[in-house]
Amino acid sequence: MLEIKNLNKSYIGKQALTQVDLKLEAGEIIGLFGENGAGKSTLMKCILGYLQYQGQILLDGEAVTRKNIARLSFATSEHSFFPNLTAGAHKDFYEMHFPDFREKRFRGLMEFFDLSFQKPLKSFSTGQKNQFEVILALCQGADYILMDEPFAGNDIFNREDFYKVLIGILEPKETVLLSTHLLEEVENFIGRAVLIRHGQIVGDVSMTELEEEGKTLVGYVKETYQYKADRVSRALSDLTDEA
Amino acid sequence: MRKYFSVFLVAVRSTMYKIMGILILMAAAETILFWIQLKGIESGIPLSLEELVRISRISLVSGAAFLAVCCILSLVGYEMSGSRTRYTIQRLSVKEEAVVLLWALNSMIALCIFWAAQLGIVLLLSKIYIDFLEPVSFNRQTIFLAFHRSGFLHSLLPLEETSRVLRNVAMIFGLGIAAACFAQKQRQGQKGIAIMVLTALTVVTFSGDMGKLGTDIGIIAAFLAAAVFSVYSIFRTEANKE
Repeated sequence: MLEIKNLNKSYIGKQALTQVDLKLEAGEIIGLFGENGAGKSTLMKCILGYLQYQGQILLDGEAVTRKNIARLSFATSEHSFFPNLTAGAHKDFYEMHFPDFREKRFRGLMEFFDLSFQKPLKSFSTGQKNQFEVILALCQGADYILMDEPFAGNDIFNREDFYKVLIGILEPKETVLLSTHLLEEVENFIGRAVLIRHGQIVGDVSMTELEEEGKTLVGYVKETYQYKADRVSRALSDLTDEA
Repeated sequence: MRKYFSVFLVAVRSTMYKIMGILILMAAAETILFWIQLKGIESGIPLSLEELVRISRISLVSGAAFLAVCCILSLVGYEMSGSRTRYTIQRLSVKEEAVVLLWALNSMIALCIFWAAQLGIVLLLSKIYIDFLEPVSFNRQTIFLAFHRSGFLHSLLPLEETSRVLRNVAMIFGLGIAAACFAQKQRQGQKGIAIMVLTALTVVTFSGDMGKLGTDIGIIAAFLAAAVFSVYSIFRTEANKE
């Protein structure tokens, strides 16, 4: 279990995360939702130890250190691979560095997305880079796979393929924390939705609960955010009056 | 050990083929330039080997190739093409200090290979020179004297001038560490200029005449100081992160 206790993070003059408490159980697929700047990326970077923070982040009761960091993997739309190296060279590197690297899964996904083993990654298109970034995260052999907007720049068909593949290949102990704006697309794929706003967790619900209540994910998000449906029409009306 | 080796191989894979390509281009360019000059003296008075090397602009080609090699070595782990390699490096089970030092080791080995390749090329060109001349135009000491008189050739093969050997070793050591630090600094939002300063210093001072003990000592001190400061900065930066 990945446990986040009373996590606080501030940048100069700005509170990015405030008293975040979250538990990610093994085998869950969790969607992390929020507006731009809500704190999704910051939360992930704190979990991975990229940022200093106040509070506790525990992986099966132990702090995240170099000893257990291999149990976490990360896919980001910013990309984290070595652009000068080929996919094949990354495979060799990951295979040597991460003892639980899933070679079979790697080959299967590379083939499925028709990615070249020989070309340097810098020559890939943005969509291909995203695919490769996610492939690496899925194949590292990590128990907790963190994905931060991994499909930004990919077309809808590509994303749908990925969701299907993801559901098919994940093993029961693998946990995915997926940050995305694509609520409707992941609705049927995640098991739990966590909402973050202004650095605070404002919603945490299982998809089963939502289903029982007859709510959609988009509806739940709007409700939690107290979204005003007439916001656009009022703004347009004001603008028109002004003109 | 396997984890450290995997990190080392990242640098090898990023640089090996490009450096090999540069060495091949350098060898081809130097051989062609040398051959053109050698053919030019066919009907005239034979030039000395060191003069032929000088007018062939071999040191210029070598300098350009050296700059290209330093550039490639500095880019290992450098964040470009929109990729943030820091996210991978900080997620390894090997500390970032170790990563930087392993990549510095790769740079040192690459620079040793560059030195050896350049030496091999000029020795081969010397052999071509000897084969080309009439037997009366050279003697057993022709090559030895050329490597004695030419600052460039002498610095490539200093023989018994220990200070020059040590200077070259210090250059390789300093350049190797500075190259690895360049990308590390960039990953932390800083600028590493040591590699640029040391590269320029190498280009300017490499072909110094023999017997300049004071200059050699000064250069050794400068490169070692830069290397020590760079190593210190690696550990200081990592300590600050902790």
